[in-house]
Formats: sequence, structure tokens, C-alpha cells
Amino acid sequence: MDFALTTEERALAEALSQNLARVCSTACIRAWEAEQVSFDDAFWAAISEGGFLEAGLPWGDAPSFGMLTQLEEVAGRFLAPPVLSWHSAFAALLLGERLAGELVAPVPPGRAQLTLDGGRLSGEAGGVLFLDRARRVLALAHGSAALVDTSAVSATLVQTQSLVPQWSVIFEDAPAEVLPAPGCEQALARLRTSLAAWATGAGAQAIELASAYARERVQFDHPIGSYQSVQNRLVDAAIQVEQARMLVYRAAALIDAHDPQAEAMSWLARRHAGKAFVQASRAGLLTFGGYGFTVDFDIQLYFRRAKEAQLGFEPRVPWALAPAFRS
Amino acid sequence: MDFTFTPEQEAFRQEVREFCAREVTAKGRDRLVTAEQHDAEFYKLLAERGYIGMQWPPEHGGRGRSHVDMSIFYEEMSYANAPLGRYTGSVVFVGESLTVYGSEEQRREYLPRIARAEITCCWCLSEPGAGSDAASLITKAEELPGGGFRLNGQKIFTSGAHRADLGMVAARTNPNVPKHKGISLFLVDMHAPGVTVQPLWTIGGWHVNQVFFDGVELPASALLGKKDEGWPNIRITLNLERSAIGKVGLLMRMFDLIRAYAAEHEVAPSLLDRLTDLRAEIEALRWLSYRVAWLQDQGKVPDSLASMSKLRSSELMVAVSELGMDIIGPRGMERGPDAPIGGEAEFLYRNAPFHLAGGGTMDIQRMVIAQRGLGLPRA
Repeated sequence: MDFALTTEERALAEALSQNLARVCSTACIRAWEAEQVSFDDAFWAAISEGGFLEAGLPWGDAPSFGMLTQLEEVAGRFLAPPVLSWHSAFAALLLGERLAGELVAPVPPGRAQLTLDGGRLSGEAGGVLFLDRARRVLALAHGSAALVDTSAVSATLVQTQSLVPQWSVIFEDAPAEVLPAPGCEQALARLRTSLAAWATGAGAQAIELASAYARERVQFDHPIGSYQSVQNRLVDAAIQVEQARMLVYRAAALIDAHDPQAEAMSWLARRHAGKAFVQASRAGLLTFGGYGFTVDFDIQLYFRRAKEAQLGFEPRVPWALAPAFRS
Repeated sequence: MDFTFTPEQEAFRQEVREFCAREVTAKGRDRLVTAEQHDAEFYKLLAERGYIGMQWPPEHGGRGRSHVDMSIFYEEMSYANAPLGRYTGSVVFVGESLTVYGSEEQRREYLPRIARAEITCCWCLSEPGAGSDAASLITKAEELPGGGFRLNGQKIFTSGAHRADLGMVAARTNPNVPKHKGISLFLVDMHAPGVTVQPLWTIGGWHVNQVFFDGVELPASALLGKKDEGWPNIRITLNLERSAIGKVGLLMRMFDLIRAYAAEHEVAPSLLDRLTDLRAEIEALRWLSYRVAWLQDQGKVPDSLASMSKLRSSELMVAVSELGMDIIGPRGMERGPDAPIGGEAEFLYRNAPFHLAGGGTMDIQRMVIAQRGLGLPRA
């Protein structure tokens, strides 16, 4: 049992943090929202050239999947687009080394109605990310992975609460490169866990922003953070985030160990982390009082992303996946 | 992060689990569901197996085990609903405190006797006018000219005092300084003349106590730590108290009982949704608790994390018992072992306020987390 990060892990997480501070500040996030782009070239260069996409890859001597979740927690703190989740945790497992650093636009598995017939893909999908940065769309259909050129789909930009660009996509008998996807369930478990890590980081940062404000903001001659009504709201959210962190890293450890309990744990981690992020961002927003409701303060960036992160890419966890502790 | 236990720890878990399967009899469980939480016979067995004071060094009667080992023990015992009785009061509150700030003579005198189950202990801190604000205590220990002290005052909510042989008592030794100074700790023979214990019955069906000290004569050697400098040690003991895991195993047990019941009955989807949420939270708390124990083994004082674990697990006592009763329906209100799931949901629901207040109220835990975890200012 060891709950500490190794020196290498700390160094990689710190390197990502430094990179994101440079290429993914809240000013960048705001600009991407305004321009309705997923991210810019500087962001992609920092992520892809910094060696971060290799974490958790299921080949070579890449850092573990647990390391990937550590990195995605850092990314969540910055509200960075969750490319590590969709690329390294999910797509890389389905496509293998053929992916070779290419970012594909993923179709969220729970948000598509697709038919795959003789190498042609038809149907509709919502919540597709990174379409402006990708050459190909990746979809799961009938137990296979299908890659479709973005020029072969009809896409509509959909505005959501987060203002993170998402596309609704129609496939009309689109030619697809079809690959067997035997690791589909494993890829989904990795995706859930990694997105849960992202939500955990985002929730933790929302609390830190609010705590910093509560230490500085004075009302009735005292910092508002000295009032228990303010403290308690943040404390309760902080506990939820800490619990989410334990679930994420537990799920990641089970995935790294190829343990059959990994799938159930990934569901629980995602469910709880989404809930924790919502609670943390709301507690954070309320700490800022009326200012929290304005676009001037960064806490609203977290609040607007939280519900979307909670609802995620698939329905709520079936209760049958909440196993007994002991039979 | 590595969540795996060592082969030795796995073997220890198996050993404790087998011990519970053999020794935690229905009689013991019934006793827990009725009124009495301490089973002297069972307590002796714990001592014979070396489970009492297992984390102390051998020269003090222990086995040199780690805090993670202790957590494993607690998880197994509470999952089995074992009548641990005076275990935590003796081992964690008093015994652990002795290991941290007791003199070598005191350790040698008391720890082996605690480990052999020859004596049990109680922690006498709260007073009628000093609950969460424990430093407001007014119980007085007056230093005698010929050496030693005379103790006068009243304590309240003292668990296990009616069974205890040794009390760890906080008393004011200097009334002329700010309240956090001038407090000392004493080891008091609970059978000494002048000590009176009266029950204070709870809705749980068992009692805590009021303890009266009327001119109790204490030798100088009863002083624990330095005179007038007891408050920092009280905080250490409160931290030890908060870190003690006894709840997660019980939460796991309750979840499994309720889940098994739900699987065999028609249950509304909204209730199953709550059950799933609880599963995630209990799992998270389990590892959070092990993380606290692991940090303690590294020599750290994870007070904020310990308070998180204590606070949330206590709240989940309420949540899980309430959900159990909601799922069972009207019969969930029935008391006793013949009720659905052995009446355990009802029993826990009724006893949950004890978990919410014991070892520091929820409000105090939140203050600890706010100030030491989030760095928020004091009021």
C-alpha cells in the first residue's frame, strides 16, 4: 500500500501543470469559447509534444493508466479539453498503434444511434468533440470501431451550457474503415475513469478558487471564510471531491491490474466524481456571491462545465453494477 | 498509487475474519442489538489473540503492528458486528495517548495490562458546560502541599466509565491563565474513593455516564504529561479518536444486508439509485480511511483527512440506515433480531446520533477541515 506519487509521476504531473499554465489559462479557455473552437495549435503542441499523450497507452513502456488519470486530474484543474481521456484512454485502446498520435473526433457511445452495414455507417450522434481538430470520426457500432472521414459526415455545431464546442453528426451511408473492437468494454472503463479524474481535478480547483476568495473577501469586518456557513458548504464539497479522488485511483489501479472489478469501479468513480464536481462548482459559485453569477470571475467556467461532466456520455450507472462488498 | 495489501496483511485479514466467523456468536450480536456493547469473555479472547494494543511495541505488550493493520482489524470486526465494547476507549483513546505522551513508567505500568485485558479505560473530557468547547472545563485538580493532587468535578458522556478501571481525566490545575493553558491530564483509578459513576441512558438502549469526582486523592505519579500543559495532548487524543476506523466495516455490512434485501424485493428505482450512490461513497471512504492509516504509519498527522473520514462515515451511518428503512418499508421500523435484516437498519438509525456527536460533533469536524484542510480563517 502506497498512496504517494513516485518522483517520476510527480515530475510528469508538474510538467503538465506548467505547460497548461502557459497554453490553457482561463484567458485561453474564454477565447476558445468565444471563437467556438475546441482548442488552439499551441495547446495541441504542448500536449502532443510534451509526451503526455503516451501515458496509459496499452503498448510499449508507457507510464501506467494510473499516471494518465493523475495527468487528467491536472488537466481538469485547468479545464483543459479532455484529450487524454478520449485519445489515450479510449481511442488508443480501440485503434492501437495505428492511431499514432492522430486525434480523432469521438462519438460518445451513449449518444449515438448507428447502423453499420458492409463498411457503411448510417445514423445520428450527438456530443461529438474535437471535430474542428480531427480528420476522422471514431464511432462504436455493433461491437466494431468505425472510422469515418470528417468530410463524409454532415455536422452541426450545438451550443451547450459549457460553451465547449460539440457537434451533432449525421452519417448517411458514410464509407467507414471498420475494425474489430474486442477491447470495447475495457476502453469504456478507461474512459469513465479518466473523465472522472478530470471532473475530480475540476472540482478540486473550484474549491481552491473559492477558498482563496473566501480568505480575501471581507464582509462585516471579517473574511467571509471565517463564517461557518461559508466554510461548511466548501468543506462538504471538499469531502465529496476527496472521495471521488479515492474512487478514481482505485479504479485506475484495478484497470492497471486487469482486475475484473475494474468496470464496476469505473462506473462508481464516474458517477461520484460527476456529482462531486457539481457540488464543488456550486459551492464555489455561491462563495463568490453575486460576483459568481457574472462572467468576470472564473468560477462560472467551472460551474457551467460541471453538469455536463456529470451527465457524461452514457446513461446513469445501472444499480446492478453496485456490487456487494462481500458475497 | 498502490492499493494492494502485503501478503502479511492479507494473511492477517484472513486470520481476523476467521476469528470473527468462529467467535462472534449470535449471542454477541444479539447483545449488540439489545443494550450491552461490551462482552468481557470476547474481550479476553481479543487479548489472547494479541489484538489489543497490537500496534504497540512488544516491550509494552503489543505486537508492533501498523496503523494499516489496525484498520484491517477494525474493518473485519465491524463488518462482523463484533462486540468490541471497551476496545477503542482503552486502546485508542487512552493506550495510544500513553504511547504518545505518557512517561516510560506509565507505559510500562498500564499498556501491558490493557493489552492483557486486565483493565479497561475511559476518557473523561466532556463536562456539562464544556462539550465542543472542551477547554472550558472546570473540573479542578488542586496540588497538595505534600505532593499529589485532589480532584473535584463532574464529567459527562463518558462511555464505558461503569466498566473502566482507569480513567484519563482532564482537569484544570491553574485557573489564573487563559483557558487553553492551565489544564492537566491525570490517570485516575476509577475504583478510588470519591469516584461515582451514574448512567445516562440513550435512545440507543445503552448508556453513557456521568462521573463525579469528590475529593479524589491522586498521587503525583498520576499526572500524565506536564502540569498545566495538557491541552496540546488533548488535541492529540482527539485526533487519534477521529482516526479510529470502526465505521467503514459496519457501513459495508449494512450495504450488503440492504442490497441482498433489495435484490429479493420490489424496490422503487429511485431507492436503488440512492443505494448505488452509497456504494460509491462507502468504497471511497474505505480507501480514504486506509489512506489516513497509511499516512499515520509514515509519521504524518493527517488531521483534515481524518476528520473528513470521520465526518462522512458518521453521516453515512444515517444515510445507509435511513435508506435501509425506506427500502424495507413500514417493517423497517421493527426492533429486534426477528425484524427484516435483523433489525440492524432500525438499530443503526436510532444510534446514528451517537456517531454524529461522539469524538467531536460534525460542526467541530467541519471546523478542522476548513481551517487545516482548506486554510480558511478562524472565526
